[in-house]
Amino acid sequence: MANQKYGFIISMERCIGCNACTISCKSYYNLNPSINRRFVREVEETLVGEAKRCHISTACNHCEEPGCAKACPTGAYTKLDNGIVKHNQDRCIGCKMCATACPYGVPQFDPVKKKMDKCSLCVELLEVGEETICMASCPMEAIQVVDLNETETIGLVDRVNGFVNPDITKSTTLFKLPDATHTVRRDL
Amino acid sequence: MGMKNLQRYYILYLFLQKFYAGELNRLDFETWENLIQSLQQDCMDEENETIWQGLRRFVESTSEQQEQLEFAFNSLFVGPGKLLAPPYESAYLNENRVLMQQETLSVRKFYEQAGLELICKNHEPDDHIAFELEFVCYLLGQYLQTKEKEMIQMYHTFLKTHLFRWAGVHCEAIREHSDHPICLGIADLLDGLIQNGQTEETMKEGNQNG
Amino acid sequence: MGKFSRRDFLKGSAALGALVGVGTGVGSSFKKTKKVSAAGNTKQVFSACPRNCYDTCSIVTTVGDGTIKFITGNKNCTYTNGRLCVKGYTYPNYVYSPDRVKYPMKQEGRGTGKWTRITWDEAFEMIANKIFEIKKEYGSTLPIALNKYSGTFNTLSYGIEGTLSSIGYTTRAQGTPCWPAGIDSQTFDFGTIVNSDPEAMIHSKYILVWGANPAWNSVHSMNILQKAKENGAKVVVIDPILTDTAANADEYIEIKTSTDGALALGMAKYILDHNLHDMDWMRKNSVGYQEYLNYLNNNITLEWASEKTGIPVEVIERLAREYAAAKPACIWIGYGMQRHTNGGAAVRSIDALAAMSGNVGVLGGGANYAQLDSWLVNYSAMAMSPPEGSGGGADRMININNFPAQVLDLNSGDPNKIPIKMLWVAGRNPIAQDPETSVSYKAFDSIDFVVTADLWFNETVAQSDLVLPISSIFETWGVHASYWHYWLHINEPAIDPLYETKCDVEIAMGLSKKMNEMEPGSCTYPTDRTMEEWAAMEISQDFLNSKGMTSYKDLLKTGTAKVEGYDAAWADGVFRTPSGKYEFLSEKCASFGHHALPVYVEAKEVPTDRPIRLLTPHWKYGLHSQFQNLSWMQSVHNEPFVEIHPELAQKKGIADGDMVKVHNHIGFVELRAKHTLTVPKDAVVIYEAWYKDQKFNVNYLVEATPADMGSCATGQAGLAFHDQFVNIDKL
Repeated sequence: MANQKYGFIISMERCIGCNACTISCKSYYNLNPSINRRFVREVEETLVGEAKRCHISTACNHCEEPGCAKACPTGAYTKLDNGIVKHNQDRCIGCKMCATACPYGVPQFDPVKKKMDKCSLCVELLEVGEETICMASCPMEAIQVVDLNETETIGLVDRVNGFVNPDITKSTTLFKLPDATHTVRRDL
Repeated sequence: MGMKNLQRYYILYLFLQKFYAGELNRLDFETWENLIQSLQQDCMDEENETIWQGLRRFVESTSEQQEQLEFAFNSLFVGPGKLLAPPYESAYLNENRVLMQQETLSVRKFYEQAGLELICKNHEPDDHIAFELEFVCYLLGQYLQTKEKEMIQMYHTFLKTHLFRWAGVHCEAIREHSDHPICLGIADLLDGLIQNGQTEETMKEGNQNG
Repeated sequence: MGKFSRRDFLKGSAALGALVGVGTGVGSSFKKTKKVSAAGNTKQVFSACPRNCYDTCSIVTTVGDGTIKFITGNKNCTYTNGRLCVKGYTYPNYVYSPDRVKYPMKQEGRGTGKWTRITWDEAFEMIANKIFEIKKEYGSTLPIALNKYSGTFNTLSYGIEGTLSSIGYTTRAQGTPCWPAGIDSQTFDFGTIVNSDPEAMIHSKYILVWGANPAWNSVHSMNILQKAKENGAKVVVIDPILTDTAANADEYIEIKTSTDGALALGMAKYILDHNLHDMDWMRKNSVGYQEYLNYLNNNITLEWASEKTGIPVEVIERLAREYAAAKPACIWIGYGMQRHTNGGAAVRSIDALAAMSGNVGVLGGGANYAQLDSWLVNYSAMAMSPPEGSGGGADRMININNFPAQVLDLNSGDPNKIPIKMLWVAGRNPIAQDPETSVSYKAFDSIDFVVTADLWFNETVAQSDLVLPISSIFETWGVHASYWHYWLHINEPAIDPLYETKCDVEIAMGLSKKMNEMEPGSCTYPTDRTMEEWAAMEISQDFLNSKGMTSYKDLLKTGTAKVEGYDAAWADGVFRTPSGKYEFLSEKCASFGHHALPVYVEAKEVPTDRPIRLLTPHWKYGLHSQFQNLSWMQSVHNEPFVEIHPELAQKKGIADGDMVKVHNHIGFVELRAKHTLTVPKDAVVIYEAWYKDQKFNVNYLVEATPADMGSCATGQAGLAFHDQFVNIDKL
């Protein structure tokens, strides 16, 4: 147990940019309409080979050196042994320092609770052997939460062109980049 | 707090309850005028200026305006369009503007602790303002009649943890979306009651500290 | 609560007397209870999504305290594998939005916003009075029209057709805007539409996704495609737009819009020239193949196909070679590519390509378009007979795809025409979804009385006299089938109906009761069944027998069950055509004014004054006018946009993010431009959707241009949604 290190593996090859992860998470956690815990963004159409539609779906990257934790004046963030960056909302004073410090813009201000909010990696579900909501709901099975210590990472990358440099906070999220699609375009 | 104040509040809450239940929408003008006149009489001892502003708005409303009340009322509180000032607690307190979630259910629980449940449970959200006001009247009426302390405590707690937590934002929404004098007056009445509640709360704390 | 009536404590009050006289007393909304709700007591029930969608998902709804807590897919259904889509996951928001239509309401002057609340009884009486008035004046109910379509495909929602049938002969909006050209094609070729079970695509070695975008519109099939790909199948997408489906494929071929028939014929010609065709299959299973092969030999060259489609000859050759060599190879024929003036002809050419290459009736093969064979339901809520002595003789059909213009024609004052006096709208938002929005408004204005049954206040409700609040699928019973996969779902109510909402069948029963009270014998709709009984009646004995079930209660155990026998459509070689064979040459097709063979039909000419094609496909966050109006969806996306290729944009001086005006001879829309390399250089793309509180409606730009086919199987031709042309300018 002690050696477990949870983290996300995102298959950009499988992801269709549909936001099912965002909405199912929002529904399960009853989030304010103005905030989300997952983010599906469009990335450069020319990310791999010829132009095509490309998306990147991420949540909190549960970094090794979380910027949020460094910036938080009340110590509301803890990097747990199991890899999860935990946000303790009871301690949060909603000062938004973490939002500024996180290069991914992950922590979001909940205007009703007046506190920050972010992905918990559904730790209460993981602990009882269930999948995270995003993982269970993705119709393309593009999201995996794994024990990074026990997972083969060949073919995976930690950085995606046009997305935040993972070195800043040592993000733990790994990506499978999309395969190139051969395209035959009309000459006009 | 004096019994007289509580009696006056009872009347004001009852008036608001009737309004939100839609029961003042189709009054003939004469009945409406009589009602407002007697409401003013009952409020002679009221010192809150916002409440008086509301009462004046009622007095000044014309018969044409009163005829249009139902349309204004429906566009704010009933539909069929997007509700401009939803009359549901959860529409303000639920983070997602979704009804029938924990916010609604905690109101339901409160009713149950007072030994009551809605006849239309699960058909209409428990936190519709007309139900909350009716519940307030019930508690207050019980207290005035029986002087049971538990009733007045529940009355204060309910206002503090439910009605007063959201009614202020709701009044803002009314002011933003309506220019109908009666609807604006209702917002004043509600706001005035919230203000009085806050003043009394502060005084109570002052007494306790002193 | 009755005891609380004395108000001695308020003897001095002046207002009390007045207030007590108004409405009901304090406490009358409550009853005494001893129990206190315990948290955490939840149950799970099976629901089903009734939307007009390939995937038609079975849902598991978690209910606690009488409310929906969370929904997921039903793992008993292997098609969805227990997952929903982005739209499905918004259902809790859909059900519990404060903006639902809650009560029956009438409007004082259509479009005025002056609404008053009425009871159901009053609503039924209003409708009944109008029906009686019309019957009296015209001697029949023909001046009453129904415009209903795909807002809900719960089979019990056909209760609305039943409602109209039960009052007499009426006018019906007939046809479908969506897919009729392709249905006709397959009707001529195969006898009807039957696709192979999409789960069988996993067995395919080569998959041509032709004009479909499952990444947005059929996400569970997208997952099957992905798995087929991972199994070694090659997935090729043919589309004018480089969709998200194309982005996940091995290869994308950009085809010039509306030339799909030419590509299919060109491929077939190559296959024939290189002797890769399946002569045995054609001899055994088809008629007219010789004429078809002659047509290929005499009329088709690859150079011609290349010229038409904009695809290089060597690519067509390679595609044809790969397709013919891979066994089995499957084609998914999308609905997008048949929304053209030559769309039906194109589908016939593709069918022929699949047939001549020996890919029909093969596991992992097929020319897969759609199916209705899994709808093993009785339509018991729909099948009603008119009251005795009804005038009019028969229902009158008018074209759903040109409904406003036809209404205006009937209402022009011509004494020889029976006008439309009353319109019932259900399961539709025609003002948002029909082409030629401005004509829709005029048509509504020409009708005396409009009743709309809906969950949401949309443009159509705004133009109605009466709105009836409809329950969501979570508040009623249902039996749901798909037009793509083969699962049949049952839908049990998860919660009580909120507010005063009712389902279509309850409305039918209520109206029937009222009408018969007022005029006995005036309505035949039965009024003595519960919704559970209606649902039970809906499931056919054939289905129960095939699954070894004794009653609908068995289906309630799993929520869903699959109709078997469709792994490979047409594997038995028994076609439902007049000849019983696959018909390359179809006399029936000829009898509808088309060529008997799957020949090429020229695309609609691009007008010189509007040189830019407008494509308006489905949107990923909505289904027609549904879902994009919800606050959860708005949190992900809330602004319409037009996709434009940077080269075209540069010519027009349009930067990424600029506001632009897209316009043509019938209307315009204003919205933001989005540069993307994924659209053609001679077209712009706007996704159809209804955004709440926004004026955007792309149908201001869409003309009611008919597709070539549709009238055989659906009564009316389809709509050439993608043969629309515009100009675009920076604002």
